Amino acid sequence: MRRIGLWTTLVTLLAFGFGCGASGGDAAGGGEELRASATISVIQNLVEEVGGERVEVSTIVPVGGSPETFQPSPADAQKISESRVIFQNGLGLEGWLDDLLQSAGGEDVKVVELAEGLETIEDNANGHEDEPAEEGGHSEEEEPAHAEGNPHLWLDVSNSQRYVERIRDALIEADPDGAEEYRANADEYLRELEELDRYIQEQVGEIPEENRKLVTFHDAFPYFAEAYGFEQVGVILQNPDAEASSREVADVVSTVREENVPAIFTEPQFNSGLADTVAEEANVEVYELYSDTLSDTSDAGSYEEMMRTNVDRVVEALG
Amino acid sequence: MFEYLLEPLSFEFMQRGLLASVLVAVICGVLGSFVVLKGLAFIGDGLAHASFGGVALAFVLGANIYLGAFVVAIGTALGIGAISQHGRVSSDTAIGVFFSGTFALGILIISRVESYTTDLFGYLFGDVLSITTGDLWTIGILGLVVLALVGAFYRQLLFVAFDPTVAAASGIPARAFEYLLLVLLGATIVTAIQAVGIILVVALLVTPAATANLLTRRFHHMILVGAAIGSFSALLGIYLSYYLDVASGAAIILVATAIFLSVFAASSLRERFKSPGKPAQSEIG
Amino acid sequence: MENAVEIRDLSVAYNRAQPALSGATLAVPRGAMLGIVGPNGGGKSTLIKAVLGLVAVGSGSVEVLGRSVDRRARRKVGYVPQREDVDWSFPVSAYDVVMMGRVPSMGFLKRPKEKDRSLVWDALETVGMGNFADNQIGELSGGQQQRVFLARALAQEAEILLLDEPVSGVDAPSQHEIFDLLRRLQGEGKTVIVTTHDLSCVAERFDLALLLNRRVVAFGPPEEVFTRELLNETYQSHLMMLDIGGRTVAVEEGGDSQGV
Repeated sequence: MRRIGLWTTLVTLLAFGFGCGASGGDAAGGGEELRASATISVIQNLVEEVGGERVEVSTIVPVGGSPETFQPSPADAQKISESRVIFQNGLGLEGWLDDLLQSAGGEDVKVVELAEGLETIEDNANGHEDEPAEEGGHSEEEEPAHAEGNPHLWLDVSNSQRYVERIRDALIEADPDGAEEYRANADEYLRELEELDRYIQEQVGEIPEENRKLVTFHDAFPYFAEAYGFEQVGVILQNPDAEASSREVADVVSTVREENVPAIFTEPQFNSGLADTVAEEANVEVYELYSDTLSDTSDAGSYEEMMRTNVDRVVEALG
Repeated sequence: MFEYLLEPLSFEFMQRGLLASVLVAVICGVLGSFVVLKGLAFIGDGLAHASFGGVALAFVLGANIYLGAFVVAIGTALGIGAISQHGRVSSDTAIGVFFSGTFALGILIISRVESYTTDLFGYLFGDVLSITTGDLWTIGILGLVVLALVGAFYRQLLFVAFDPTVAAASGIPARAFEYLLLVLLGATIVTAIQAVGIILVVALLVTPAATANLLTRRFHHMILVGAAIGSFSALLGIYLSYYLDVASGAAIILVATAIFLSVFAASSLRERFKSPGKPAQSEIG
Repeated sequence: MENAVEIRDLSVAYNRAQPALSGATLAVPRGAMLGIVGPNGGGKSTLIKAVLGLVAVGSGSVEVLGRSVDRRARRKVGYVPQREDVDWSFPVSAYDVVMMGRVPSMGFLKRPKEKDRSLVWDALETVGMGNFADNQIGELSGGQQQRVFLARALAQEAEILLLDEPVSGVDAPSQHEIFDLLRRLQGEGKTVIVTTHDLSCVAERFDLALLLNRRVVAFGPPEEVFTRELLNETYQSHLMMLDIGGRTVAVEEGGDSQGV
């Protein structure tokens, strides 16, 4: 809530201050390239894998930024107006996209919502409830950040495979000449993802069953937890847009203690102060997991690297 | 009853948060008395926002962000002092120019280092629940320095605050004391931001002292009552945040605001009952 | 006799267009009681501030008790500012205000000593405010407030008392009390310098008068300087001099009439 005034200032200043230069505008390349935009760097990477040489794809939320607290700048509107296809995740992750599309005037641009129609998980309220039946009511009370179901589907590799298929189909529709190439790229990448999925299953197998409990910074990992056999026992900050209450933090600490969780996880795009507080209080370790964004480092330069790094760290933390 | 008081204290982070917010409230209560009487609230707001530029700058340069915030806040304070002393620009205008300038600098910087955005904004909002032992030491030492300086120069500061012209005329370095006050204000704001954030820090500085001003007629009473109201607001606010499950910084400020409004209502009522007997002071003379 | 204040060829300018004061020269002997009169904007407050060292002197010099205006000299000068310059709602008692007079010589970290306290009480008694020591300054009447401020100057052990418009906004009986008090203090050896609009008071009670309008028009005993010509020169169109029944009446623009 408190951020609103500040963000308004920020947006105003950005609007008047600097157009940053269009980072999506290095058109000097092939000339034949299909211009596309992805809302987040994870999706950008998936599009790159499918599009190969034929597609030039840029990301709107920069690497390291959080889509949930992001505010677009004029340069982003420019990126969009130069794109023929825009890939978004959906489920409220990119609440700012509609306004951006409008200001970019891109009515004829094709917007692909990758999560559309996939099975979602309701937001997990803070503080794990043993009876799932209670969860719905509790969620309402806690006002979860994601009203339409949790958007972080890609952290389950099989969902990312669905994403890849949709990306493939959308690219073929926008650029039928490249159909063969897109199919070939997608097939190869889907095989790689299959392998990635196996790798994650194997790694998780090394974690003692009683330790397969996740406490994460924000509610990004329910799909990961469900797909790979973890129990999401707690979330430190239910709504990354708001300040935490002391009760929320105390509840997470109690959960970590009671459930004997060996470590908790933070995410690089958030200030880790609160996670440090919880870890120190409960006397456990803090590890960093990638969720909403890739990184400039080789830890998570691509979706595959990010998922491997995540599972390696989970194994190290809980194993 | 006792259990309710003790339960939150079983968490160390709650103990640290309580201690930090009470310390900050005491410092703010003391300096806030000067702020309220000298009409420095706008400067306080300006310094709070200006310090954000310092945070961003320190972040880019890899320096300690609290040091960065402190240096820029002090620089801004002295800049405002120097410009308004010059006489051709009013101090309100000088504050407006300086604080929006340094705040914009902060925004310009974070817009170039996007990946750090959240960390920097975290600083803006402050978080009394993430106070570390190191933060506590910083707050404690700064509190001691502020209280020691105000204690040592209490009479001079009071004289200069009440009547700067006569203080200067009688040989007190009034200008220097006004700068000292601004420097202490900058340091206090930077410290208090850790507990309640930039947006709420001015409230912690102004509201308890303004309440104390309604209740007291001597300056040292105002300081003591302001510090007491501030500490009480901090304690009650944190307990409320625990039991009602609401944001801590906001709870602290709302308690202080509620106390102010009650005291204001009570004193207005009392004035009304008294008024037929005795003319208001402004009509005398 | 040594002079309390000696001003030589003093010029002060706040902006380049018009000096507030130019070429002022006068010497106020110790123990004198000087009334400074002149139109608004004529430089009365500027002259006071120059003696206090509060304005940058363009040219010329100011000496207080034989020395330039430094910190030690300032302690010997007690200043009572105009009422409008004071925040009367400030939470300080009359005692607190008078104790401020002790601050310059108290030093840092020092608490008031017995001597400081007795000087404060003496000063309060001298001005007749001993019974009001605990009152908040805003609760006092205008005349009482002026007396408290005068007590602060006394507690400072000032030898020269500078009062800027001490009787403006103060009712008539209180005005007389204040002038009587100043007279008494003069009798105790203080040098008293007052700016005022009240020409009759200066004529009756002061032994020196200064007519000021951006320069010294006249300086000397009131009966010598309060002549029709000099007053006309001082106030120009702002004051009309009328002869009524052998008395000269000065009518200041705005309607205040004062007998001289």
